[in-house]
Amino acid sequence: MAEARIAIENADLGYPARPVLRAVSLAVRPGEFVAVLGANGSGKTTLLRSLLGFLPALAGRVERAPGLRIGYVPQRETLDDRYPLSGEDVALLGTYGDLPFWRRVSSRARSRARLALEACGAREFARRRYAQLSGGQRQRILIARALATEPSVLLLDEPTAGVDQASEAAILDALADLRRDRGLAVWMVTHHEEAVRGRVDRVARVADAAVTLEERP
Amino acid sequence: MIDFLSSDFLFRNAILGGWIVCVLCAVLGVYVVLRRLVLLGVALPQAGAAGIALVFFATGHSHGDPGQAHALALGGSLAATFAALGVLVLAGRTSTQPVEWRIGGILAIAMAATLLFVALSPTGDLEMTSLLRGELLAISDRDLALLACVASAIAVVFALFRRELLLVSFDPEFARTIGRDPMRWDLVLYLLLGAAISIGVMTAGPMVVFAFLVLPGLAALRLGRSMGMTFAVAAAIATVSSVGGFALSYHADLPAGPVYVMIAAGIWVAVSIAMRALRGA
Repeated sequence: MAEARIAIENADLGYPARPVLRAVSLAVRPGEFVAVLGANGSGKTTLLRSLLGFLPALAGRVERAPGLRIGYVPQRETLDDRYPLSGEDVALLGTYGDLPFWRRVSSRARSRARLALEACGAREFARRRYAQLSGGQRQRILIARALATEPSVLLLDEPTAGVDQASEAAILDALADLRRDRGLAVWMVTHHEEAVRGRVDRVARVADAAVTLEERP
Repeated sequence: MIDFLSSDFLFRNAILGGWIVCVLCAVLGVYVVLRRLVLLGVALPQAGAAGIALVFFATGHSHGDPGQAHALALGGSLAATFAALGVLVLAGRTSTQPVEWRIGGILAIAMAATLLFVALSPTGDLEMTSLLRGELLAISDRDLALLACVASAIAVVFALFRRELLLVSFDPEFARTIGRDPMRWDLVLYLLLGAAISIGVMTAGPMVVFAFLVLPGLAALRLGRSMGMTFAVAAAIATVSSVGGFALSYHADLPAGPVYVMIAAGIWVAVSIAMRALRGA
C-alpha cells in the first residue's frame, strides 16, 4: 500500500446478492497505464465501479490514499446528446466539484478546463456542440472533463469503443502522455487487446470471477 | 404599458398569475424534457388536481370560491403532489421495476380519484370544468402575493444550484465521482417541481401546468445553444403564450388556459418545422 493510490486486498466485489469477483488483490500505482481486459459480463465494470468506490467490498479491504481524486470517463453512449452543451461546457463540468454553489465559475476554473482540453488535443473543436462531435472527439472531451478534476487516478470505461483506428491510436497516445507527464495512474477497460499491446505497463485480465495481473504484455 | 400592472386593472392578477405559473413550469420543464420525465409531468399535476378535488369534496367548498377555498386548494394540491412524489421516491429505493410503471399507476389512480371526488361533490360538473381550467380570474391579491413568493423561492433555489442540477442530470455517475450525490440533487429537483406543480395546478389547472412543463422546453431545446439560452427561450415562449393568450382569450371570449396551451403548441410546431427546413436547406 506504500505508494498505491488504491489498494484492494483479498476482496470480494459485486452486489450483496451477487458477488461477481472473488479474492481480488491489486494495487493502482502512480504513473502506471493498465488495460482491463475480459469478455462481456466477466466483471470488468464491477472492478471499475469498485475502484470508483460505487460498490463497497463485500469482503476483504479496499483502501484509498487520503484526499484521492479519481477522474472518471464513462462510456460515451451513456450520455444524452440532447443537452445544449458545447465541448467546453462538458469539460467545465469537471471543475464543478471544487466550486461552492454560491460562486460563479471562476477564470481559474475556466483555464483549468482549457488546459485539460489542450492536453487531450481537443481545443480546436471544443466550442462546437457536443452532440455534433464525432465519437473520437467526444471521447477526448470526456477525458478532458476527467482531467479538469485534477485527478491522480484516471479510470476509463471503454474509451475507444466505436471509434476509428486513427482516433483510437490518438486517444491511447494521449493517455500514455498523460501518464508520463503527470504521473497519473491510468486504468482503462477495453476489448481491444491488440491496440493496447506495447502501450500499457500491465494488463488486468478479468475471467472466471478473478482478476489476474500480467506485467508488460 | 403597463396599465395591466396597475392594481385598478381588472385582470391584472389573472395575467400576472398565469404568467408566473407558465414561466416557472417552462423553465423547470427544460429538465422534465431532457430527463424524459414527461409522464411525471402529467401524473403530478393530475395528483395535484385529485388533491384539490378531495379537499373540496371533504369540505363542501368549490374551486371557484374565493378566500379560504384557495388556501384549502393549495393545501390539497401540495399534499397530493408531494404524497405522489414520496411514493415514487420511497418505492424507487427498494423496487427494481422501471419508474415509468409506478408513474403510470399514480396517473391512473389520480385521474380516477379526481373524477370520483368531483362526482361526489355537491357542485359536480361545474366543479370539474373549473378544476381543469384553473381559476385564473379568481386570483386575489393575497393569492398573487403567495404565488409570487413561492415562485421566487423556487427561482432562487434553482439558480443557486443550477450547476449541481445540470451535473446530476447530464451524468449522475460522474457527479458522484466529484462528490455530488445524484439522489440528493434529484430530490431537490423533484421538490422544486412538486412546489411549482402544486401552486400551478391550484392557479391555472393541471392541463396548463402539464403543457407548460413540456411544450416550451421542447421548442427551446431546438433553439438553445447553451443551457442558459434554453431556459431564457423557454421563459420567453411562456411569456408570449400566456400574455398573448390572455389577450386572445379575452377578445374571443374563450377560456384562457386552452388558448395559452394552443399558442405554446403552435410555437413548438413552427419551431420544429423551421428547424427541419433549415437542416434540410
